Amino acid sequence: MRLRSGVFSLLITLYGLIFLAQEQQSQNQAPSLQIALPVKFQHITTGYLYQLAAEMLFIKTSVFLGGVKPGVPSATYAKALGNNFEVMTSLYPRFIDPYYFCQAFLPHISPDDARKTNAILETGIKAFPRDFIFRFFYGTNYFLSMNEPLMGAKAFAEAAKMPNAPPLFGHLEALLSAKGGDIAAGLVSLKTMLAAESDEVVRARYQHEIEIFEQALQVREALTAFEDKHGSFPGTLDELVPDFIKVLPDIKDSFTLRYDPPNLRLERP
Amino acid sequence: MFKCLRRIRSVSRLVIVDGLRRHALIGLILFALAGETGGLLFFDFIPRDIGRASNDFLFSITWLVGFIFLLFHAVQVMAWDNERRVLHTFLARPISRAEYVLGVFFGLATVLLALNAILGGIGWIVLNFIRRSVDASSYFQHLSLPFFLLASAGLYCMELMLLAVILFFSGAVRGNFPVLLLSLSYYFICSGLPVVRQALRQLTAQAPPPYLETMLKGVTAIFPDFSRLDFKMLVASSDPVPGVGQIVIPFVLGAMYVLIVLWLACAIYQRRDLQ
Repeated sequence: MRLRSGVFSLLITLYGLIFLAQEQQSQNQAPSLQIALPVKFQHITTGYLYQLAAEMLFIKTSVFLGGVKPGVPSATYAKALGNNFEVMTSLYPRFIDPYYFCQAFLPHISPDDARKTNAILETGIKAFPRDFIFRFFYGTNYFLSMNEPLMGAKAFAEAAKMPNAPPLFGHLEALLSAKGGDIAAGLVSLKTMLAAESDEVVRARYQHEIEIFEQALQVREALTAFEDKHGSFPGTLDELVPDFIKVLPDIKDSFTLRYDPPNLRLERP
Repeated sequence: MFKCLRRIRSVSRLVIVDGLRRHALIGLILFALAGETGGLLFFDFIPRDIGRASNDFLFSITWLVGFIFLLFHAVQVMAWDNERRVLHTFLARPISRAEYVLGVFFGLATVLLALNAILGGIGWIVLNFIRRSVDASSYFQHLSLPFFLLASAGLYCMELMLLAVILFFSGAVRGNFPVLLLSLSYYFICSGLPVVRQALRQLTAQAPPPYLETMLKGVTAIFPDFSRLDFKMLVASSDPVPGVGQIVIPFVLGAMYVLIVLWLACAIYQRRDLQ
C-alpha cells in the first residue's frame, strides 16, 4: 500500500515537472500563426457554422497580431497573415472587421503583400459596393505601398463615380494621375471637380491647381514636339527652351515638376 | 384517422418523456448556456461587427446543440427501443410500424422545437443585452425580430430534415453507430455538394458539361443545400433581403423533403426484420 502511494506520488511529481518544463518551453517560443485551411474545405466541414469559423479565424489572427514581440520581422508571418485574411473574407465576405485589420497590418510589409491586400479588399468592395472606406484603402495601397499611382488613380476614378462620393476621391485621382505621368487625365478630373464645387475657398484651390497642371501640360506637349522632331526625348527639360517652349514654368510650393525621361510627373513635394 | 393520430401522439409522448428523463432537454440547455456565457468573452475580440458576430455565435450554438441532440440522442431512440425490446411491446398493441416511426419523429421534433424555442428566447434576450451594452449606432445598428424568427424557422426546418433522414437510416440499418456514421456522411455531402458545384463552375472556363451539371443537380435534390435555409445573416445586418420566393420555396421544399423521407422511412420499416 505504501509502495503504491509512493509510486503514485512519484508519478504526480513527474507529471508536474514535465508539465512545467513544457510550459517553460512554450513560453520561450515565439508565437506563430498557422496557415488556415482552404476556404472550400472550411465550407464543407463547417456547414451552418461557416460564419462562426470565419470569426474564430479572425480572433485567432488578431490575438496573434496583438502578441507579436517587437523586433519580429513582419515578413516571417506575412504569408500566413495574407492567407488567413483571404480565407476569412472569402468564407464570410460581409464580415467587415478582417478588412480593417488586413489594411492595418498587411500592405506595409511588402508590395506583394499590398497586392494581396487589394485582392482581399476587392472581395470587400464586391460585398459592400457603397463603402467608401474600402475603396479608399484600395486606392491608397496602389500608390503608398506598390508605387503604382496610375492604378491608384484608376481606383479613385471609379470610386469618384459613386453617388455621394466625397470630393477627396476625385482630387486623389487628379493628383495620382499627375504623379503617374498622366497630367491630362488629372487636369480633366480637376476641371470636373471645379465645376461641381460651390465652396469658394475650395474652388480657388482647384483653380490654382488647374493653372499648375496646365503649365505642366504645356511642358508635356513640348516634350512630345521635341520627340517628333528629334526621334527621342531630351535629357533635361532645359533642352526644350527656347525652340519648344519659351520658358520653363516656375512650379514650386504645392507641386514639383519631375522629369524622368520620357515621363513627366507632377508630384506633391 | 383520428385513432391513428391518437396512437401517433401516444408514441410521441413516450418519446418526449424518455427524452426528458435522459436530460436531453435540460442537459443541452445547460450546455448551450455555458457556451453562450463563454461567448460573451468572444465578443470582446470583435471590434466593429459586434451585432453580426454575436448573432452568428448564438445561432451557431443553437445549431450545435440541435446537432448534438440529433446525433447523440435521436440516432439512438429507435435502436434503444429495439435493443430493450420496448418496440415489441409497442407493436404488440394495435399500432402499425408506420405509426411508430411517425410517433418517434413527432416526439423528437417536439423536444427539438422546445429546445430551439428556449434557446431562441435566451438568444434574443442575450442579443438585446449585448446591443444595449455597446454603442448600438456604430456597432450594432440592426436587430430584426421577424428575421430572427425566420432564421430560427430555417434552422428548425434543417433540423427536421436531418431528423427525417436519421429515422430513414434507423429503419434501414441495424445499430446506432452505423446510423450515426451515415447521418454524418449525409450532412457532409449536403455541405460539400454546393461547394463542388461552385468549384466546377469556376474551374471550367466554359459552362460545365451538361450531363455533369444535371447529375449534380439531381444529387442536390437528394442531398439538399441547407444553406438555402440559412437566414441568420439577415438578423443583425443590412444585408440585401432575398425575394419572397427565395424565402418561401426553401421551406416548401424542406417540408416536402421531410414528407418524402418519412414516407420512405415508414415503407422501409414496414419491411424491416426486427430480430
